[in-house]
Amino acid sequence: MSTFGGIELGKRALQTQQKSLNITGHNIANANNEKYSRQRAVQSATDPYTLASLYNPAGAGQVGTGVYIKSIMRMRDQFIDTRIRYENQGYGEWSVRKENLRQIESIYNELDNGGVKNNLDRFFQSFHDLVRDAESSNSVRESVIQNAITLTTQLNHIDRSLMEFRDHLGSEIEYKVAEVNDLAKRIAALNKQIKIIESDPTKKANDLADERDALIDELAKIVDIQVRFDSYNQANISLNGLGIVNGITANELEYSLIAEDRTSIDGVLYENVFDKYVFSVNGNQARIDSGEIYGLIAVREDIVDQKMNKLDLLARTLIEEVNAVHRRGYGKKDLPGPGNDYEEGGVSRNFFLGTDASNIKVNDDPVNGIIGRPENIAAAPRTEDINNDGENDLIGDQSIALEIAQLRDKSIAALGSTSFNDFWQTQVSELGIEISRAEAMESNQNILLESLKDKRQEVSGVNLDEEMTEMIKFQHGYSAAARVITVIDQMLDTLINGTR
Amino acid sequence: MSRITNNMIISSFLSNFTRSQKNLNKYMEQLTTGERFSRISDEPINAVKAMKLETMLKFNDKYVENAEEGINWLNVTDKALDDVVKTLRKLRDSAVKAANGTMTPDDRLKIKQEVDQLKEHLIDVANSRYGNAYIFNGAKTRIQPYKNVDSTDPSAYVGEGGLSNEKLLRELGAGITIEVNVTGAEIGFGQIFADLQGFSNALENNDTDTLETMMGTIDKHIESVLGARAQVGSRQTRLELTVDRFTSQEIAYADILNKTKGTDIAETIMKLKNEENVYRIALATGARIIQPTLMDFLR
Repeated sequence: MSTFGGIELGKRALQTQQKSLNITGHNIANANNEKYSRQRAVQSATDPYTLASLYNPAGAGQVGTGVYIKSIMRMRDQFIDTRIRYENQGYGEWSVRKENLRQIESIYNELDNGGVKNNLDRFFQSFHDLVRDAESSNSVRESVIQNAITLTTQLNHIDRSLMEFRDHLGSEIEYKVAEVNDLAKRIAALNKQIKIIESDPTKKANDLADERDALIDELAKIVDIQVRFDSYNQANISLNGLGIVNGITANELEYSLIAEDRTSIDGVLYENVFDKYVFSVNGNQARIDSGEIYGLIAVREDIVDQKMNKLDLLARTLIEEVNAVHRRGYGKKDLPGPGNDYEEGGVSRNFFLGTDASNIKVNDDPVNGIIGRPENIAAAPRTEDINNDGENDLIGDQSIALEIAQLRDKSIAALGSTSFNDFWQTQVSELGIEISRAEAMESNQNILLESLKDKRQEVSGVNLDEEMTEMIKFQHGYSAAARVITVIDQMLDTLINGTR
Repeated sequence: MSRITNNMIISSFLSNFTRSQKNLNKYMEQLTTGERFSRISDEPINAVKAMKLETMLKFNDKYVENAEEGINWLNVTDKALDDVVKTLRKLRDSAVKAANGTMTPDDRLKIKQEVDQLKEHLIDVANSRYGNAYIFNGAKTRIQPYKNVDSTDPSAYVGEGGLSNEKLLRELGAGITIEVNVTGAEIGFGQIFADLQGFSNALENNDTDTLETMMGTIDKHIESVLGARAQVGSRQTRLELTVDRFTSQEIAYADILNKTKGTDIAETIMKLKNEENVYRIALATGARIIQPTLMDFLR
């Protein structure tokens, strides 16, 4: 041990305590940074000095030379990270599902007075009124027409809203894909910086790793990724086997839309109406099985399509059933006679026109239509005009209107042997149950995720009390080291100035 | 030993606090709207049940309206038939009087005038209306069924627009219908008028043979009208029972509906109060836990 070795030792001690204090300061500064993992200085004794002596070159043991900071450790549990990423996928999927199903629910707006169910009720009720009020003016007939128009407009509106919502979900998917690519690029860039720093094994890119892990968490919420770290602490990320981040390069996730023909449940062919998203990485088709994008696709391509299909079915069946009865009837001014070569039983006038929910409307033909011509509602099953007043004498019997009113309770094979109302209510309740399921799943995932995040906080979070304690510890360490230097200084003073 | 960090305390406090606030909001909404749910997904099963009940209530109202209109229609019919029976009874008395051998032709002519008047009255009754509708003309509710002529041919009395024998139906429940009208043909108005004309002719011609049979003829008519009236009465009863049934059903349904979607005020207020306590405690605890750190004790 040299004369001034003690001062060197004291200096090292001061530096180490100071550095440690800095790290504590860094921890305190980042106490509210959610991405941050607390750091610890790993202190280690410097290489000891072996005393040489006359008989024993190794002397009586070794003399310590002080302390240095061996590394700065990032307190992080990779296992919890993996689990958080996994649960994040489920959370992303179900929260997106819940939000978007809610949107469909508000498009339906069923509990409100204006829901389809209420409009169906009103439509059929007005036919009941028509049965009772055969001979009065056209006001009851007008109200039949108005209720029918309200119903058809609403069906059109829901159909259009669902279509628009479908498009909206499409652009949401595209936006999420762009987000995936942006995140992948940023992760690759961070990988590069981390690699440069950590190729020196004594250095750890702790703060950059925090930043990158947070990005990976975000990415995991959007798509189901697998993460692997290599020896340079680079994160390699793959999407069901296809690499989207390989070290310092990011591969673009691409999408394309494939238009599809689709046959509806009751066998009607829709050409090119529905389209499907297909994803690829580097030209290889990619599978997405979980996360927000999957949730969006599930809502768009399963639920919305199915709901539109069922809405079309409802509209189509309504058109067919009401028309089939209405065609057998006669209006107020449909009289037998030359030129009026009616088919057997009825004037064959359609009440509704159109083929599905997008185009259903009340017959608005300028001659033979119903809108603006209430007398054309064919409510009577027979016609004759013996008194030659130009009006159907048999108007008192409105049993065609009664038959239409009774369609409400008829169980219709095309609707799975249910009535219109029950069919629609099934749709609505299915959606409601789907939403409550999504809500329950979301809240489960959320609880899981929160508890995992708590676990992560347990390891990585900053506890201010703990840091303050550390601070005091290092402060005292620093003071004591300074005192050591003072004492050595006094010793040297005695040695140098006291001996003359 | 597991570590607890400041962020953990704050975030768990925040999530508990938010949950408490959410619950408060939910109870508040339930109390102010009076309904337990505002979206189907809140309680899908109950919401759909409520929707079904609402439809049932709505259509119950329609069925009650149908039944009440039927009752009114039948009341008018019943009054008319009552009138017919009373008139026929008067005519029977006249027939009894006219058949009396002590009657002079002059007396009979006086009776004839009365008979003609009563016949005209009966034709008026046969043309009775409910609102704008002729009640005895089947589907031809706009068209007057009978006109007054001096003929012994029953078909001569049929009005310009002809007679209709259609039955008018009203729905009283899913698939249940009832006829609300009695047609003129069922009562045999044409025959009544023709026979009365025969009566009048016999009075004019002092045809005692015919006059003697007249009493029996009128009795037959009275019987058939009474038969029709009995039918009307039984339909009225059925309709009244229907109205009663729907009215009591309505009360039951409304009660179920209220239980299905209505807020249980007492229970909800209790829950609200309880949640208020939780909320206060959460706030108080938060204030205590978050504030102090070691920093407060260092100088």
